[in-house]
Amino acid sequence: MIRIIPDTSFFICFLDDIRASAHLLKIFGSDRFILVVGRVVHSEVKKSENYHQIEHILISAESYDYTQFGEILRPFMSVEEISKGEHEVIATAYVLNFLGYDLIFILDDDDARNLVMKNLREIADKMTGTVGFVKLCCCEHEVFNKEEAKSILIMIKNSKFRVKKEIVEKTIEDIEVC
Amino acid sequence: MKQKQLEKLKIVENYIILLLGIVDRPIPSILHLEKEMFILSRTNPVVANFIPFMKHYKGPYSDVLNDLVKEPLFYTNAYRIVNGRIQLTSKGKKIFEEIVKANEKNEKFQQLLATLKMIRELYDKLSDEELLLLIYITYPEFKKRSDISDRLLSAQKREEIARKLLKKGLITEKRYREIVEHDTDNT
Repeated sequence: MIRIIPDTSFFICFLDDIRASAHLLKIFGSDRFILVVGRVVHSEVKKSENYHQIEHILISAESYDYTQFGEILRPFMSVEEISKGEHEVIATAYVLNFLGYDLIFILDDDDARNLVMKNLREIADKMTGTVGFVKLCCCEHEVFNKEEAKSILIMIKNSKFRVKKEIVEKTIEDIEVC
Repeated sequence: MKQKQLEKLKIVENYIILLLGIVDRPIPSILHLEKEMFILSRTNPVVANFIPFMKHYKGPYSDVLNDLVKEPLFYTNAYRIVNGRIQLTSKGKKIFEEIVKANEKNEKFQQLLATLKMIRELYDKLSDEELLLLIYITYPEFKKRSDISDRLLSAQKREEIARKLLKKGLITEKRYREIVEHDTDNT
């Protein structure tokens, strides 16, 4: 089973931006993934008015709250980034990778992604964004069929979720041929 | 000294050896070792119990840690300071391996090793000034005002150091702006 460590924007995308929590339930209801959610990300997602739709999967998610791994990155990131839990996602991914777990972590913020690329290269290949993860769910893990994946991506493209339209279009093309 | 206190000091020396051994290169300075251990104590409440930190003009400071780095009580000759850099000796490397082996099935211990490695990978890259500035700004409650802090926190110096950090890719753009616009009155 692969551990999935998403950032806050991933959940907010499905809950509020495209209002498609059923897809989230399908992802984490599959027997391919184990959801890992830290304290900060969980408390941010709780602020969504649609949180109740996925509350049960977040409550039963694996968490490593005893140790505040994210604190390692606090001096390097802004208060805003810290409040969204991006530091927590990166540090948890680093620790679980060290422990030998198979994992994917989802980060959408370019700044945070650059920090990983430049300083924590050993986990860089485990990093993807929300759009990239939808593609993985379709092309590698068969959680979504092609039509489902493409319809999710079209909803994302037309929503206020912050991602370049070209990236979504290119991903849809990739899905066509995977 | 009571047996319990001695045991505590031994555990602190274990942490020092683990921090030094997790990456195969010396720690750049005592300042780095101290601040890296401080960050470890912020991640892990158990470590915080063994190594209390107090306010200091160079940010969080632990006299226990400082004493044991310079003069270990238990693991004599396990580490040494060469040109200001701290490194394990071959005896220290052996002790490191023994500690790791004894705990190889303990997941919490493995998490500790991962935490130590991540700390070393990031903080070893910082110069003394970069390290102090980030610590002053992130943990102002551990700073006693001094000439050093005043100088590093001046607008010009903050901008200069933050620019270097951004160029090295060690801080995000948003953090850069935050440091440059930092309100020193609140530190």
